[in-house]
Amino acid sequence: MVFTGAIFSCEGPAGEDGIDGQDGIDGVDGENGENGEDGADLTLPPYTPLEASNTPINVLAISSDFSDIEIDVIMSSEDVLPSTPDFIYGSMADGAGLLKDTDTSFILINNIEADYSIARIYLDQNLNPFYGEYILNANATAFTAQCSGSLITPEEHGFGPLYLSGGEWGGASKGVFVTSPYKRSEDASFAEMLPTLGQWSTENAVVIGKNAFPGTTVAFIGDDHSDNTEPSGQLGMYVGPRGDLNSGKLYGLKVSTAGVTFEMDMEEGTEYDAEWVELEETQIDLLDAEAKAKGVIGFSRLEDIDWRRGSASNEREIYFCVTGRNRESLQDKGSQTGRVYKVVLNDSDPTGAAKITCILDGDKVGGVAEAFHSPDNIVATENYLYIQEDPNGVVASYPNKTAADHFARLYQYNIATGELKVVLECDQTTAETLGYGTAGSMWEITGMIDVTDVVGGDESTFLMITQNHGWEPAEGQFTDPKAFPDADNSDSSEGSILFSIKGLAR
Amino acid sequence: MKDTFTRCIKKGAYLTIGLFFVISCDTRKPTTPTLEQYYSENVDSLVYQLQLLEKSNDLASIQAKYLKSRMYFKRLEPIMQFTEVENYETLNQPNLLQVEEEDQTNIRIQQPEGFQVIEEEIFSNEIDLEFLKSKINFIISRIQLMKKNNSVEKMKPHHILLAVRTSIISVATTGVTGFDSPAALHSLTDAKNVYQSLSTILSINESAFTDSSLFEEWKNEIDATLSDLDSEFESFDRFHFIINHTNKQFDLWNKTVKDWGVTIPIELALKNDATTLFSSNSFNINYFSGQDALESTKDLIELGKELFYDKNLSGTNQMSCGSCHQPELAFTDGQVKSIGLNEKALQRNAPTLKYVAYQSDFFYDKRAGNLEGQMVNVVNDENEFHSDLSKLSNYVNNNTKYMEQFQLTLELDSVSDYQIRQSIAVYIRSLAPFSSKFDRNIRGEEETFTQEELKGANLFMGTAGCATCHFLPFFNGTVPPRWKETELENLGVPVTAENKTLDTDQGRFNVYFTEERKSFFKTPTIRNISLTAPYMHNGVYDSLEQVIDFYNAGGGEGMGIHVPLQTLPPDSLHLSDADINALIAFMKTLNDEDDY
Repeated sequence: MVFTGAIFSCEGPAGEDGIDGQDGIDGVDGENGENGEDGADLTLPPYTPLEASNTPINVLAISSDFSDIEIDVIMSSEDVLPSTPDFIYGSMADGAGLLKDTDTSFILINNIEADYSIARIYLDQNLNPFYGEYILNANATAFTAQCSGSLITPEEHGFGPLYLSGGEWGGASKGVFVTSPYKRSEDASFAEMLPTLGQWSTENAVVIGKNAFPGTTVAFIGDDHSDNTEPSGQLGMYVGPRGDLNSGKLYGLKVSTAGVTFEMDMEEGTEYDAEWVELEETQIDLLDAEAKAKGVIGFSRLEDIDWRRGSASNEREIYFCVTGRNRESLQDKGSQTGRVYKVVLNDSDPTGAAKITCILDGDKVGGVAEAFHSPDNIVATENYLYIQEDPNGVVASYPNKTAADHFARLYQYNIATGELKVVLECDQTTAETLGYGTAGSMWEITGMIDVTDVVGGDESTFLMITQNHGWEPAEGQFTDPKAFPDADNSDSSEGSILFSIKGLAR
Repeated sequence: MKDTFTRCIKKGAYLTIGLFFVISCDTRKPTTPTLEQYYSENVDSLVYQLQLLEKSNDLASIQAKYLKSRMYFKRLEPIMQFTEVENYETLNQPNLLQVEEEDQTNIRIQQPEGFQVIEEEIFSNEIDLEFLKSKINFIISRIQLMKKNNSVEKMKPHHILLAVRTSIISVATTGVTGFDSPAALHSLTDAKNVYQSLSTILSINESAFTDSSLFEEWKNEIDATLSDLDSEFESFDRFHFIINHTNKQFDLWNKTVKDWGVTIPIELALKNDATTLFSSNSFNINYFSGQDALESTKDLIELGKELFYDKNLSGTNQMSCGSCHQPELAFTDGQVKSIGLNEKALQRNAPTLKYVAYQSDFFYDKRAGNLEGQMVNVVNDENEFHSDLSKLSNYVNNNTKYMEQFQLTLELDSVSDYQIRQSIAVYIRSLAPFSSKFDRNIRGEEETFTQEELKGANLFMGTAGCATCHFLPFFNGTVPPRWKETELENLGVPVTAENKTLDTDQGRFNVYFTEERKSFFKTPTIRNISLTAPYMHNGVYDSLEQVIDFYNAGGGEGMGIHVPLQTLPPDSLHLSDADINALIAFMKTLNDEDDY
C-alpha cells in the first residue's frame, strides 16, 4: 500500500446558493500534491544527541528477580534536545513504534495522548534522541486523544510502514487513525482515519503478523467502551486482503460455549469456544447495538492488544488486557480489577472457530493475579507477556484487594508455565522527594514495545513509557505548541518519561 | 434570495434546496446530486464561512458570518447527527466545562468547544477576538477531519431513514426549545434549515419511493412545517407543532419504511415501529436496562410488585421499597427527606419511580448504573434495609409462595439475589403508563387543553427554558434523540426556602471528589410533579410556586448565593404571575391517570 497522505478528494463542489465564493477554499486541496514526496526528508545534517536525560532512573523500583536488567531514561518531558531545543516531549506519551532509519539512526513514532498528537523522534545508534518533531497535531486529530499505537512494517506484516493509533476520548473523533511514519511535519494538520474499522471507543488497532494468514491482513480493535449497566467493550476484528485496510469486513468476538453471557461467566484457566460474527454497521451506536444483538461479548473496558511472536501458529495467538470497572451494577458481569485474555484463532481462516481463555483474573482472591490493579497495556514476545498497569482507583474501594495496594507495576508472565513476576514498580515515594509528582497521583506504565529486532545486538531491548500524573513543570507547560497550538492553555501538562530496558527475556 | 426561495417552495416546484433550487426556478430539470455530493458541498460551504468568520473583526460581520455558518451546520445536521454522532455532539455541546469521570484516577476536565461556545461569545457584551478565533479553529479542524473521513457514501436506505427520523425528533424535543441556540435564539430558523435539508435528502432518494403520492405527501408536509416555523421564537406554538407535524411525520415515516421495503436490522432506544414518542410501547427498554434484563410479563410484574412491598426483605422487617415510594404519591413519600430506620432522616428526598427506567444512571448523584445495582445500596445501607444480599435471597428462597411464583414465571427452583433484584426492577420499569392528560392531548387523542394549559406548555417548551433540561417525552434529563445520557446540573439549590445559603449536600462531588462536580445533581422527571412535593433533592420547597420562583430568579446564583459552576443561567426568566400560573396548570396535566 502506497501511503501518500492524500487529503481531499478533489471533486470540485459546484457553487451553491449565491455563496459561490466558497469554491475558493479548494485551494487547500491543491497542496496535497506535495504529499507524494514521502520519504524525501531522510538525509539529516549532523545533529547533537542528548547524551543523558535529566530525569533519574530511581523513579522506578526494580524487583530483585530482575536485578540484571539494565534500565535507562532515554528522555523525558523536562529534557531539551540540543538540536531541536523547542521540541517538548509532551503530556501523557502512550503508544509507540520504532523503525530503522539509517544505519546509525532510528525513528520513534510516539502518541502524545493528552496533547492529542503524534511525535516523531530520531534516535542515534545508542538510542539517544537527537531530533524531535510532531507529525500529527491536535488540529489534525481534531483534539482526539491518541492512546495505544502500533506500527505496521514490511518485515512483520508484509506491508507498511504505517502507524495505527486509536482515538478514544476527548469528545471525540472515535475510530482508528492511520499515519505514515514518514509524514512531513509540515502536513501535521491533516489526519486520515480508517472508517471501515468502525467507530469504537478505540484504545488500539493491531495488525497481526504476516505469517498468521498468508495473503490476508487481520487487525484487532480494542474497544475501551466503559458502561455502568453492562460490560460493553468488545473485541473487533477486521479482515481484508494483504495491505488493504479499507475494503475488508468487520467482525466481533462471541463466546459460543453455553452459559457465557458476560465475561465473568468465564473462569480463569478454562478454555471456551468462540466465534466471529460479521458486523455490518460502523456508526458507534449502531455498531454497539448490532454487536450486542448478535451476542458479541462485552468486557469492562478492553484495552491493549498484542500477538505472540515466533511462528505462524504463535502469530494466531492474541492477548489483551481488560482494565476492569468497579461498580455494583457490574458485579458478576464485568471484571473489577482487571483480567488478561488469550484468544487462539482458527489455523486457516481468521473468521473461523476460535478459543478464548482468561489466563489471569485479578478479581480472584488468592489467585496468581491477585495483585492486579487495572492491567492496561501488553506486549507479547515468543515466550512472555509484559503487562503494564494503569491503576483505576483507590484500593479501599475494591473488596478484598489489599494485594493491589501498590503503584503501577510491570509484570512478566511466562506463557509456558503461567508464572507471574513483578519486574518493576513506579517508586512514587522516591519520585515525590525528587520533585516528580506526588505519591497520591498514580502513574501509568504504558507504550512498551519489543524493539530487539530493530535495534539488533546480543541482548534484548524494550522501550517503555510512564505517564507521570501530577508531575508538572515549575514554569511553562509540558506541551509543545507544534502539537497543541494554544500550549499555554493545553488540557494537560503532566509529563512523560521514555525508558529503554535491556536484558528482559523474550 | 430568501424570498425567491420561499416562492419556489410555495409553487411546489422542487423541494430541493441550495444549488438545485436555483435551477428548478428555471424550470429546467435539475440533476439530482448524490447524498455525498450534497454533504460535501455543505461541508465546504461551512468551512468557507467559518474561515470568513475567523477573519472578521467587526460585530455586524461576525454575527452575519456566524449565522451563515450556522445555516450550513444545520443543513448538515440530519446526516452529521446520525453518521458522526460523537463529533456532532462535540460541535453542539453546551458552553459548560466538560467533566468526564471515568474512574477515581481518571478524571478529564476540558474546556467546552463548538457552536454554542462561539455563539455565546459573539452575542455577549464584549467579544474576545483571540478566544473566538481559537474556538472557530477547533470547529474548522473537526469539520475538516470529518469531511475527509466521512462514510456518507456508505449509507444504506435504513441509515437514511433512521437519520431522517432522528432529525424529526431532534427538532421537536430540543431544536424548537432553544436548547442549542441559547444566545442568538435562532432556533426556528435552525429548524427550517433542518427541514429544508430533510426535503433535499428525500428528493435525492425520490427513486426509492414506489408510491409517488407518499413522496408528494412528504413534500406537502414539509412545506406546511416550514410555513408554521415561519414564526417568532417567543410566540411559537410548540405544542401544536408536535401534534400537527411531528406526529404526522412519524406516520409518514412508518409508511415510507414499508414503501421502500426496508427492514431496519437494529433497534436503538426508540423502537423502529414506534408511532409516537409518547408511549412506553415506543421504547426499547433493554436499551436502558441492559440486555440481560428479564422480560417484562404480567406475572413477573405482579411478582416484582409483591417483593417491592414486602417488608420482610429488609433486615428488621420494618421497611419495604414501598415505604419511601408510595403509589398514591407517585412513588414518593411526602417527606422532606425520607425517614429511614429508627426515625433517622436519610440523605435526600425520595425521587419518584415513575419513568425511572428511562435513565442512564441512578440516585441523584448518578452513582449506580442500573436499578439492580441501585438496590444493592438500599439493601446494605444501615439506615435503610440494613441487610445483605444473601439474607435477602435466603428469605425469598425459603418462602414457598414466592418460590411457586418464580417456578411459574421464570421456571426457577431457586433464585439468586440478582434475579430477585431483576424481578423488582421489572416492576419498577413498568411504571411508565403515559396516561396523563398531556399524553392524550399530544398524541392527538383528545383536545382538552385549556388556554392556560396550552400557554403553560408553550412556556415550558419555549421561553421558560424548562424543556432544555427536562426533555420530552420523559421530562427528565435523558437527552433526546440519542437517550444515552442522563444529565447532571448545578442549580444552586439552597439549604432552606429562605434562599440564603447553598445546600451543604455536595451531590455528585461525593462520588469521585471532583471539585468541578460540587452541587451537581441528576435531573429528575417532572411527570406527576403535583404529587411529589416537597421538591428538589433536599425537599427544600413545599410548593411549585416556590420552585418556579427559584428558576425565575436564576437559581441560587440569581438569588445572590455564590454557586461555583452553576449550570442554570443566573438571569431572570422574566415570568409574570400569569406565566407562573400557566406553567403550574400545564405541569398538573402531567399526572398519570391510572391506579397502581
